Amino acid sequence: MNKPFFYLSLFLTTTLFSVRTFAQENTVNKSNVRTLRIDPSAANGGSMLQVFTEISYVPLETTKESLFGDITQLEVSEDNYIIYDNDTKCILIFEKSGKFKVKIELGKVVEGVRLNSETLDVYGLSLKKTGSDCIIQVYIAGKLYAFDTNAKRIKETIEEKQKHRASQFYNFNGDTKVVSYYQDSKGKDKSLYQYALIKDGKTSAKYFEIDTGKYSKSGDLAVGGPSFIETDSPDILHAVRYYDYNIYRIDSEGISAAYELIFPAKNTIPKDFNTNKVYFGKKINHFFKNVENIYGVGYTFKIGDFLYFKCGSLSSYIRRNGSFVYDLKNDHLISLNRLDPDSLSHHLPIIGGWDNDFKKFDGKHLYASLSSLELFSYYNQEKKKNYKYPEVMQNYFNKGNKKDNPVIIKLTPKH
Amino acid sequence: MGTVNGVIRDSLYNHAMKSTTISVYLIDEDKLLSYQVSNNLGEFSFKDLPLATRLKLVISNVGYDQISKKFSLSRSARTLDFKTIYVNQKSNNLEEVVITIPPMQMNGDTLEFNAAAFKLDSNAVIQDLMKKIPNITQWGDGRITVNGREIKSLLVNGREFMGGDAKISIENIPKNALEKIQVYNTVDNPKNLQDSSLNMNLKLKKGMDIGYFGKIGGGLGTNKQFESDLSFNVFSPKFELSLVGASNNVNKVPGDINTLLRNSTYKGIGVQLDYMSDFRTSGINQPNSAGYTLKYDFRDLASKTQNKNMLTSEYFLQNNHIQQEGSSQTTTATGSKSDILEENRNNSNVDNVGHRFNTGYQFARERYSFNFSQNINLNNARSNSSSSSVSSDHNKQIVSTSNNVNSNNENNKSYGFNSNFSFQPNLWDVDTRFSGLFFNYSMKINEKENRRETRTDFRSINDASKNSLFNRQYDQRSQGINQHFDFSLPAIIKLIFGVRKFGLFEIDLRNDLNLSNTKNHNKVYDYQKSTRQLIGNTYLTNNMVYNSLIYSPAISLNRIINKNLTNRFDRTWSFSLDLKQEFYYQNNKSDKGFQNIDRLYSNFLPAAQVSYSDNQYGDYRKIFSLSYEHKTGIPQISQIAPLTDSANVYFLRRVNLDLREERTESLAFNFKHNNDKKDNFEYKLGASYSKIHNNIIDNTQIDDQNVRTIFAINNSDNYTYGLSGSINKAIKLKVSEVQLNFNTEYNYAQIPTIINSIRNIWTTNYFNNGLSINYTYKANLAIEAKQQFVKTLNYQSDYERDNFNNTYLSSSLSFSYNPVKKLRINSNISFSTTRATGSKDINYNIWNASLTYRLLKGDNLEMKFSALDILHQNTSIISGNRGGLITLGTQNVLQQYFIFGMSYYPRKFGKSNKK
Repeated sequence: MNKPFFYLSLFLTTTLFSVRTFAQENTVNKSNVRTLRIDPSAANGGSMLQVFTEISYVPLETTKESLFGDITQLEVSEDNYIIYDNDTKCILIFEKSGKFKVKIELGKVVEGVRLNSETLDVYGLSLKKTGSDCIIQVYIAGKLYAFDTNAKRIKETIEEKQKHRASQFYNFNGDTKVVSYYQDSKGKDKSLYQYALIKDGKTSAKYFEIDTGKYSKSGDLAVGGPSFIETDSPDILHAVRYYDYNIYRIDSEGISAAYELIFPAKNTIPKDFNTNKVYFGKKINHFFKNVENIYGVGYTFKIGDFLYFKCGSLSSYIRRNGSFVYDLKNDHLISLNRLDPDSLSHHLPIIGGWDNDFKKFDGKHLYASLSSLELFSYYNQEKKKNYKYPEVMQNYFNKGNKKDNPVIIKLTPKH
Repeated sequence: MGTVNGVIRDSLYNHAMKSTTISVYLIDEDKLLSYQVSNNLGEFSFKDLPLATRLKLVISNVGYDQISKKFSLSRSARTLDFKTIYVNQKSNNLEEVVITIPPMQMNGDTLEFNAAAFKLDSNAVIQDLMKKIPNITQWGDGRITVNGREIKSLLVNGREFMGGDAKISIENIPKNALEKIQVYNTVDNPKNLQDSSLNMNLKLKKGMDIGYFGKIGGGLGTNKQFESDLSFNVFSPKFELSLVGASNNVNKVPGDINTLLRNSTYKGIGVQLDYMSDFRTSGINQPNSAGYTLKYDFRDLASKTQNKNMLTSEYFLQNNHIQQEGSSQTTTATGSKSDILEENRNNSNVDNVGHRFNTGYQFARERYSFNFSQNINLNNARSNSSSSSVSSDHNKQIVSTSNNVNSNNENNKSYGFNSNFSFQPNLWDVDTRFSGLFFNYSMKINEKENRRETRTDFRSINDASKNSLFNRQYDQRSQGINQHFDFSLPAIIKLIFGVRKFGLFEIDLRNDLNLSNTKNHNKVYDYQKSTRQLIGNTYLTNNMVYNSLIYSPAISLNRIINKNLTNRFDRTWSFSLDLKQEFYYQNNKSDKGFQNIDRLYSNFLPAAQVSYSDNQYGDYRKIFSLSYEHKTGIPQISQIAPLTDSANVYFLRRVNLDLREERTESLAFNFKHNNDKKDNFEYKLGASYSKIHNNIIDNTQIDDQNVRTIFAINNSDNYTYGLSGSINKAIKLKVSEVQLNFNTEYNYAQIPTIINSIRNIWTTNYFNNGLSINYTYKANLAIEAKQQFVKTLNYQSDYERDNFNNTYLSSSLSFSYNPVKKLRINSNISFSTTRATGSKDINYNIWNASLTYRLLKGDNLEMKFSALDILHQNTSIISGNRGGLITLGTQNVLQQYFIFGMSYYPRKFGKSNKK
């Protein structure tokens, strides 16, 4: 079986719960939205060459020390793969070759929390560039912890005294930055916003107020993935919301709707899903009863003329076939799950069979991962075809086994 | 044998077709030969296909047009590669294309087997279909596994059918009423998808969810043997009613309606090992039973959730005449004295009439559930019995004799009420402090009347002054009320301190209160021959009121530790420590001063449990558990301060006001391993140890007439331990199946005795090993071979000479064979040997056979000739050692008879009569 397929929005309620006073939400510009019709059953397969120019595989070294569960979050720096694994609550640092470097056991680092490591709520990490290296930052139970890439704790406070609380941020060129899960700690407006724009240290706009009332406690289904989704332009980010099929564009000017995805009726949530009281507090149950309904989209990387995205649904069909690329130039929908493993992918699959997607886009490459269980079962199925695999993979198949660490797949997308 | 390969692709969208069903048929016989599902590259490969035969390949996938390709494999080439076969998504063409239904397909997460794809006799039932499906295994014990995983529930159209017993569904519902068998996972805990269980749903064809089925049968045999039974069941999606009745004199005693329903299923066409009379039951039973069960489901037909809203009602009447006779010899090892011997003969006639009436209502919603049930039981038992005993000393000289005649008439009435309520908060609300609660209340009112007459003539050979003659009448009445409250509140640390504030352990609170009140009015009279009058027996005539209150609050500390590595393993440790205090208050008020007892027993009864489960994906699952617990045994008034009834001449109970409670400490270990692969293999191991402190035992004094005077006393500690194991394995071959099962058990026990002030310990070693092998070939032959070996070794710790060994060895071979359609031959032969110290070996072989023939188009009429105990050797042997009382003897049993029976099975599924 795979990891749990939904991410409860615990974050909203555990760390930032507050009483709503009055909210001042900025409006989202919807004048420039492009409508895309998406029928998952009518997505095309074909060769890897349609989408990628190069694919390589990096098995992550398996030792007693480096053994971990799943890549919950992948960050890529100049020299390292930095992985957060929610099974072990560890940050693992590997060299680009896949060689294990060091790990940070967050359960041992966290201070002042009398909790078991298995109930520790960690909402991912962020990287802060410092010249050629970077600093790893993790926000746990109201505190920010920072480490260098040798897993050494950086003691001094990194952030200046905050006027607001936020979980992650992204700096645009100039003095503008966007933060996610923003809440002002001093002003009158104590509401929680999914995004806020900060110009010259001052909050200039707030978007998507999040309900922190009693219904928020019943949890939500989300596709997962980063809150700031990178595109091929450093000035443009993508964002998505719960129970919303729009892909939003964030730039230094604000948030606007960029694409609106329209799915077949059987896959679409009711129009009044976010406003009608009958759904309040019962949203998760709606999807258990209507499994074909898509609860949202995520991983909406835009690279050249290609828009990547993943659909979230409890339907097994969509969970197995939920990752797509839309060719914006030719209006052509491609299913990543339907692409044939061919010579470009060294006759290996690129995406897992269940709830898997790209973990990261670093401006040049897309990164995905496959478990050793999946790769070895595929290898055994294809054994009699005697394919010649790249040396690193041949070694992995010869010496490793299905219980090894996952393998990172690095793909160069077409523009 | 030849091979066929190919790859299936979607032509329009250019991708490999995964999970597509490919089936191969023999064209000339229109018969399904083999089927498989394409792999993740759309590839398929069939081996072992016949050569030079016209074959057909059919490709089916939900949402795609079906493709059919005719081919045949030449003797020279032997291999055919279809290369790429393109399929098209279904267009909205109105033109209906004749399609072949695939035998198996994946429909979303549900694995479906289509009944129509399997060609079977028109009278086949679902069980016959399941035997044809290689992925499904039906075990000898009734369990069903699909690809090695056990089915947790079997539903019909999404609902429980006729009490939810799988046997009743699969042996009655015709294969032709079934559309498909669906197999799917349900998530037990939505927060952990790995907590899932496998379920099976039988989806009936449209309109087939209404109908009736049943059996009416009777048989007459030699020696005035007869049997008859009736069962009639009507069902619709919301309503179910079963009427049952049975009468026989061949020891088929059904305990409830479900047993009657289970034993009157239609069973279809296949071979079946026969259900026979129980030749082990001692005595001759002549039961008459009748009853009904009714169920009405108020739920909306569309609701598929855990919602419940159901009313049930049941009535069961049984009247049984039991005739028993037997003789036995009891040797008592007395320690200092040599053994004494007692010869017994007894016979009894009992008439039992019982009525049981139950009603219940269940209601459940997502977060709460409640149910109420009540039951009324009325029972009357009349019996006449007589026994005679001759007691001898170690020189085999008779020392005393006793003759006893008893008649008894007892009426028992009871009313019971049970209710419970449980509530759980929203599972998704991660901030909730409240984790739910559970409340249970039950009550039972009981009234008993017993009139008994006993005549006993006791004679001492040596001492005429000890002779006595009793003619006593008892009139005993009692009324009781028992109430039980149970309240539990889980996770109170979270409730008080908040979520995620304390992670070391969680605390559950449990409260258990039991109140009981019993009033006894006993009147005893002695018949005086001289005056021909009944004179009240002032000693035994008594009024007594017994009250007890048991309150046991418990604090349970628990912790679950889960270690999970995605796609590798999931390991869970679970610990719990129960701190329980039991307050047992006992108050007895009696006309007899020494029976006025007022006591409080307070005991600390800790318990602990550790369990570990390790699930290695794709390999195996194993579970260990270790548990430790404490229990008390509180002495009852009949043990502390009995009224000694001298009419019970050989056993006189005496008062011991110092008697205290006994405490049992026990430790149990269990281990289970299942393979996750398709090869159906599992094994289990178990070990247990228990120690009783202040064990309550009998202290016996035997006088010269061999009369025993008994005090209950607290003995020092003694212990028992046991080991057990089992292995199950099924091997599915192409048209046959082999199942292996091995069970083993070992127990060691110490039984302390005190006879004539001499303490002694009897040690018992008990071994029980059983091996069975089942073989079935198509639907034509089933064979079962069983071997059982039981050995008991008893020895007295201080006296090696007093060994007592007992061996039971049994081998049996059963088969069921269909030589031609509609005719079935069954045979079951078992060879048994009983060997016991002090007696000769007893060998007896029981051979039962039957011939069944079915008539009419729907096989509705059945004629059956059975020959039972053909060798006329059935015997019932009593052989055992209870703390130095070694008993050997025999009892009357059912013996050879031949019976001819006819049964009619009325059946209709669906509105139009399609069988």
